Amino acid sequence: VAPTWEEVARTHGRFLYTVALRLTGDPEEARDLVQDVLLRVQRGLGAYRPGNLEGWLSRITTNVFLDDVRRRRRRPVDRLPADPGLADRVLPSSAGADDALEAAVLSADVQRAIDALPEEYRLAVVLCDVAGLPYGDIAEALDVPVGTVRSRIHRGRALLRDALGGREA
Amino acid sequence: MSPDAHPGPALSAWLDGEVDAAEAASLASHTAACPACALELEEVRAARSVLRGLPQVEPPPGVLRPAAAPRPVRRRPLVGAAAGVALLLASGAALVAIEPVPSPAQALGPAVPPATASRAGPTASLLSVRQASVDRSGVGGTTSTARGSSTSARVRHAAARVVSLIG
Repeated sequence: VAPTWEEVARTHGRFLYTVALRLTGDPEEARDLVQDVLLRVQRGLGAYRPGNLEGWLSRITTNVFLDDVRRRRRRPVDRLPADPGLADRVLPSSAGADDALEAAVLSADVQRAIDALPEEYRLAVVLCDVAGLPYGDIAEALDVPVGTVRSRIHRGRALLRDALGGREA
Repeated sequence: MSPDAHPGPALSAWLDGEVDAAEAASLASHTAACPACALELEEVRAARSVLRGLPQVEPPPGVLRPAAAPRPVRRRPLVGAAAGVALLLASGAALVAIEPVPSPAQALGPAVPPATASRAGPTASLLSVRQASVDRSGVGGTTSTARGSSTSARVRHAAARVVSLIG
């Protein structure tokens, strides 16, 4: 039987919010996305198969995200600037405040690079490298063949690396 | 894959453990002999590490709950009370409006009858309040544009608050 939304929030709240934040790049949009996902969970939407909770949540998240993207394309709105308070809510690393600050600044750069990716590549790399899903689950979430998942992940990473200017290389 | 073909996407799949042993062996020998693919491998490896090194983010308080269900066309019982309030405002204004004082604003049309306002729901009620406020500003013949619009704005504001409280 599918978990309740309370169980999902308790055990996978951070997972869900982190994936939503990386996908949308905006705390307000991430909140809306998370709450829409929990609404679908509450209503029993999305076929649940036992043992694969993160794949299931990621599939629902992808569907809601793509619905939003399509809606936005029909009625474009300006994106709000990134939330300056975001860095404060990033979990501090255990290595100390300076490292945490550096990590937050670094995260903001990386987030901008993710935001700049076309949606199909953004979804693929976020589901792979943030959600940590196997390719088979990503293929299911995106409703494309595994070969397409391979291409998108690879292309997404290459674009991301270009956007970061090779600083990390 | 032929030995000469550049593997491209398979490089990422290799990093992710998504290739079988035969493909992995082929990729190893190709990248050992092909500097371009060796460089490509290092570049996607770097991007992958950056992404995987991003911290998890704690959801702010209040985020982890289902979205409010999309508003149905039929609204909750409280709306009936709000329609009653709007009806009261509208009928009060209508009483004022029928005082025998010449009012240019009345040319805009009669106030919406109360029964119509209650049947049509909050939106129509709001409209009728706005209409009534125009009528009222004409009473007493002291209408100036500024006063009329500020009164109208106040009534509109109050009506909007009523609607938002129950919305």
